[in-house]
Amino acid sequence: MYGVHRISTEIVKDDLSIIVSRDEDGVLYHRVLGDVVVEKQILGATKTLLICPVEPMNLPKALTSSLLVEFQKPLVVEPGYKKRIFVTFPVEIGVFTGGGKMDRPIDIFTFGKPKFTLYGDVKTGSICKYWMSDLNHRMPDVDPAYEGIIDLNISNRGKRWVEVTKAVFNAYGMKMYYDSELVSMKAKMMIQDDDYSETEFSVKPFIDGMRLSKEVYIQSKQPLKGSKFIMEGGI
Amino acid sequence: MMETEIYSGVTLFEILRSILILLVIVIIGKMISLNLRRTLKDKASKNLIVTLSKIINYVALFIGVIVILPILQINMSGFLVAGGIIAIVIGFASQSIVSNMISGIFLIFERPIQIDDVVNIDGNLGIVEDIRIISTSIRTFDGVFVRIPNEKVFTGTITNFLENVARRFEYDIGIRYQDDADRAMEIIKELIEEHPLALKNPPPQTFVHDLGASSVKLKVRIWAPSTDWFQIRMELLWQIKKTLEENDIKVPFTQQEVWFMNQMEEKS
Repeated sequence: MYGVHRISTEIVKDDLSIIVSRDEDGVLYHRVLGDVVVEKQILGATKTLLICPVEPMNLPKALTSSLLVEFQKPLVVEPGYKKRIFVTFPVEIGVFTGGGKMDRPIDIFTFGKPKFTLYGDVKTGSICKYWMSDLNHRMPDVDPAYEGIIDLNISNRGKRWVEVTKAVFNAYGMKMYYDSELVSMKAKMMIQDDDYSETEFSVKPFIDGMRLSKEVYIQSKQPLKGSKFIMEGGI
Repeated sequence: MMETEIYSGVTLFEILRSILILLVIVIIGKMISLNLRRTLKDKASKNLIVTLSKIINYVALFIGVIVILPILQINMSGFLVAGGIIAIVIGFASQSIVSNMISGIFLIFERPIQIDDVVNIDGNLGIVEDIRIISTSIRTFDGVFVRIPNEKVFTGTITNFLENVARRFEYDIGIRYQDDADRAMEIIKELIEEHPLALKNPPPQTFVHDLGASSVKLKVRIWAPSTDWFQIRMELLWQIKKTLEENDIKVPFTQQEVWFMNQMEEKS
């Protein structure tokens, strides 16, 4: 499903159907997923359509730029210890038309069920997109249309044992890579203590040759937001 | 004609020149603030952009006045002498304006409210449209423009519904005594879990709150993002009502049982 498609095209996956057809008035985009039907008329000489994963922060509305991944089981980490784990994240799929900067998708949809949560307290905390993930020591097998994988390097830089139950990420730093088999990101979580840790994405893919996804949350447009997430509301 | 003296050596030409200089400086200020708005549009909050742009406009106006004063032969030292008396006169004459201005400056820097916040000020519930130096304007939810003097805003009680990122709302739902309350609570929990904007954490609560005269009363508490709580409240309440009814769990009418001391005899 991911990649560049020529107009006209028809894409079907599970209960998703995308039909893009051209007539004398322009291009008609028609997407059905479940009960939701989206139909748009595209004006322009575009000949291609790019379908790729985007930051999972846009649906049902762009309410936040933070993604909270809660671990199924808490992770207890020894001081000074580093560990590479794999967690999953929800995938949202963007449809871009060719030509121009292609920085604004014409449509975004997801096969998953979005959910939000609060990280921290109501005064200083943040609303985050919520996702529950298993902790995996090897790369799990997931459907790239539904879930992506974060290659997460956790390091406890503090002097005490810590129990980690979640990681919060900033969408403005996300670098998402994809191919037909996998949607992935690479990130690190540096823990100082129970009340302070940082998460940050790597700009490199964890498997060479994967394509960089289009970014909806462009960091250069929001320099004040930074690309890290400082977790001061507990881990 | 341009050389005609208007007052103490100041000609018409100099007055016109002063007006032109003031206009040019004010226009430059406006251009700078407009460019700033464009540049920072996606990079800073609307409130910060508006405040910065206002500061630039006021600074431009101030510079303009300072530049034209010597052209108009207005001696600043004279101002200093007369200033005291003028200040007293103006102070008495414009006490409320000055008070509103000072409140406005404090509002801009203390920021108890910001543009686009949903607030209740002095009984006016709506969205903050602008915080100016003298007054604050609110657009009520029925689309009415309300201008409130800043002194009233600053000294009054402000309820800001968007100050915290999340807020809680609740429902009281009565079901019949013969209905299965456990099943009703399970249905409600599932509906909350299904709704994307009903927050996972803090966790929602559903419990039997009261055994009323006509119904078993369930209390449902849900946390939601402050920006969207009302929409979620409307959507979920209707979904809960429909889904409970689909499962044959109904909200009862108020009931009263009447017992007669003596049974009436039936006529054959």
